[in-house]
Formats: sequence, C-alpha cells, structure tokens
Amino acid sequence: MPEILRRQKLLLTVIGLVLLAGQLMSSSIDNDKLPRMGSVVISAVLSPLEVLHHELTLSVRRVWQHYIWLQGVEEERNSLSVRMKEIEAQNSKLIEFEEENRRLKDLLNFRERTGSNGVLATIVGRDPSNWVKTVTINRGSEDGLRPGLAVVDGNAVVGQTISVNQYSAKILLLSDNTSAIDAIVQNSRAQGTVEGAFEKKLFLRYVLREYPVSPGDRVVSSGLDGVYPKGTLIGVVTTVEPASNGLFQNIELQPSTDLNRLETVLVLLPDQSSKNAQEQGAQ
Amino acid sequence: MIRTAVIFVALLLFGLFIQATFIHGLFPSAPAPDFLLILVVMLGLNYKSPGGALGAFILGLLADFASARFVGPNAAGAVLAFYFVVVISGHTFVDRGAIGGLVAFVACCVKSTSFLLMRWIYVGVTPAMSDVTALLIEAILTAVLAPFILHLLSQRTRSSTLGRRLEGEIYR
Repeated sequence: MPEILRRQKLLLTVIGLVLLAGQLMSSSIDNDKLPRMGSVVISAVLSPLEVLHHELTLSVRRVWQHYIWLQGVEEERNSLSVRMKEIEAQNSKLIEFEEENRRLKDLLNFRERTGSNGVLATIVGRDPSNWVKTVTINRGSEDGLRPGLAVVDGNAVVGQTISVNQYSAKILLLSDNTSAIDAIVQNSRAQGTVEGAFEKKLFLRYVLREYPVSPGDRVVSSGLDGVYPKGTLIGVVTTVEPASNGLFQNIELQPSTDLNRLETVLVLLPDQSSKNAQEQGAQ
Repeated sequence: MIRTAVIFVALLLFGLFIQATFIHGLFPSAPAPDFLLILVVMLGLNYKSPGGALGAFILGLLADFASARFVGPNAAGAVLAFYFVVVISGHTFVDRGAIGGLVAFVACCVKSTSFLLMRWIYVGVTPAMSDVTALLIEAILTAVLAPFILHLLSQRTRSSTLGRRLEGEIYR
C-alpha cells in the first residue's frame, strides 16, 4: 500500500487540493469574510500598480497624441500644417474635457435628483478572470467606503461594493451571474429580481405572468434590498416570453449603462443611500 | 526555500497584474486570454510534482482572492488543468510550439469547465450556451498566446541558476 501511495503521490495531492478548494468554496458562500480578507491583501499590493498603470497609460496616450505623432507629421509638412495639427490636438483635449464634464454633470445631477451623497471614483482595473465581473476603483475606506454600497454612473445602476481596502475597492457589476437586484417594472409595477448573464444582457426573474410587461418598459430598483435608492434605472426590457408552464415570465433586459466602457462612477455613501433606500422602499 | 517561495509569489502577482490591466485593456468587452492559465501549463510541463500542483493551487487561489467573490473555483480549475498537462505531457511530446498551444487550449477548457461546474453546484448558476461560447473564445485566445509565453518562460527558467535550483529543490 505505501508503494502505491508513493507512486500516486501527485494524484493524491491533486485530489486533496480539489477537495480543499470545494471546502473553501462552501465556506466562502456561507461567510464572505474569507474572500474579503484575501481580497484586501491582494488589493493592497495590486491596486497601487493598477493606479500607476492607469496614469502611465494616460500619459503615454497624451504624449503620443500631442508630441510623437506631431513630430512625424512636422517633418513632412510646412509650419502651417504643424500649427493646424497643434490646434487639432488642443481640440481633442477639449473634447475629452467636454466628455468628462458631461459624465461628471450626470453624476452631479444624479446626486441632486436623489439627494444622495457619494464619492466619485475612477475605474483602474478589471477582474483577472473572465468569469467574474468586477472592477477596481481608486477609492477605499479612507473615503468612507464599506462593502454593500450602491454604485451608479449618473444614469443607472452599475453594481455594489464587495471588498474595500484603505485606498481601493472592488465593485461587483450587475452583469455578474451572481448579482441580484430587487426591481420593479415602471409601467406595470411588476416586481422581480434582476440577475446578470455573461453577455451584455440581464434577466428579470420571478415576474408573475399576470403582470403585463412589454419590450421598451423601463426597469428600476425597488429600494427594498436596502442597497440601491428606489427608482434608479437598471435597464430596458428587450424581449418577453410568456411562460408556457409555471408562474413566471422570461424577461430579458438591456442594461442602461455600458459596463465595458465605465470610466467614472459614483459610490453612494452609507448613511444617505441606506436611509434613502429604506425610506423610499417603505413608501 | 523562502526565497524561492517569495519569487514564485512575485511571479504570480505579476501575472495577476498583467491579467487585470494589460490583457483586459486589450480586450475590454470580450473574453480575454488567460495568462494565469499559461503559467499553470508551464508548471505542468516543468514541475511534475506535488510542489507543482501546490503552485497551481496557490495561483488559482490568488485569482479567487483578486475577484473577492468566491474562494475555490479558480483554485480547483487550476489544479485540474495542471494535472491534465502533467498526464498529457507524460504520453505525448509537448514542446512550446503548436502542440503547446493545443495543450493550453484544452487546459483552459478544463479550467473554465471546472469553474462553471463548481459555480453551478455551489451557487446554483446554471451554465448557458453563451458561457460555452465564451469558454471556447477564451481557450482559443489563450492557445494563440501560449506558445510565445511558454517559450519566453522556458528560456528564462533554463538559463537561470535559480531555475536549476528550483527544479533541484522540488525534486529533492
């Protein structure tokens, strides 16, 4: 027997590690302290590098657009063409500022509209796995963040914070398969739960079939989960399939925000957002 | 031994950094090649021992911690992918060329399938056709990138005194 064990050492190690992984998975579902603790440690090392990478990428892009490319053109053109290119570069910068201004205005309007207080944050990294939809932002507990806070982009729901470091945090996007948001259809007031799917779509589940739901209907947060303020836009219904059997309809949504192009988000701070959500959910 | 472990962890964190920034920066809205899986394939080709399996487990565990969601699915997938590479390379000559890419393709399928199965069993999220499509795209992209990375890593491993020491320590 010991000879067999010695020869199959690798196989036994693999089996043991897989069983350990299963046990860790089971434990992390019951208690999210373990993944959160690990994430804090990893983020403490990775987040500064992600922020540095983000700043370097912006700098390189600026240098390329405003200097190197122009050098290449300047060699081939006369001084008037060079001046024209410089003006075009300044115009590009202004357009970028205008776009950033629009995004920030949307966020400010959201804050004024809902009375929510929040922290602006920039996306600096994405999840290394293809199967988990999370992003890293450059704000953390130093700015008052904690796990379980709603995150919006000024127009619609983005997700919620799941892990917070001192200077960074992880957001679980609403497109993740394990994300669930309590929601209502604005027209019919049908209640359901919005769940993520892998592609750019969401599912609205547990809507009873007697409630009329049509493509084009807006779906908003109900406020009942105590995370998202009531009435925050989630998405628009794209397809509705009446259930042949069973109680519920099969409803697909298009999210109202492009989760692959997020740059700046607003994290709703705990006191105001939970108070708003609870008050509005009770109404 | 401690120095070896520190260097190994540094390589893992570098892999996570590359995956979270450069790789996903190049593929913002689509499945991206799994750089970490290529490291697992490298472990399976060069360190066919319980130490290599442990290294793959730690690599998957770090990926799980970086996701801050569930601990275990990436770790289990990485270990199974590692074992697959060890078994295949024991029966077939696997170089760093096209065969290495093919092995990386199947190893990526093994890892991602394991992830989806564990998520189905423990969380109740049923895999959809879109998941299968994404799995195949990720595996193809990883297979394309794998030969270059494996070639680079194998050269570094062979030429360094540390690399020779790593093999000696693990097989001691």
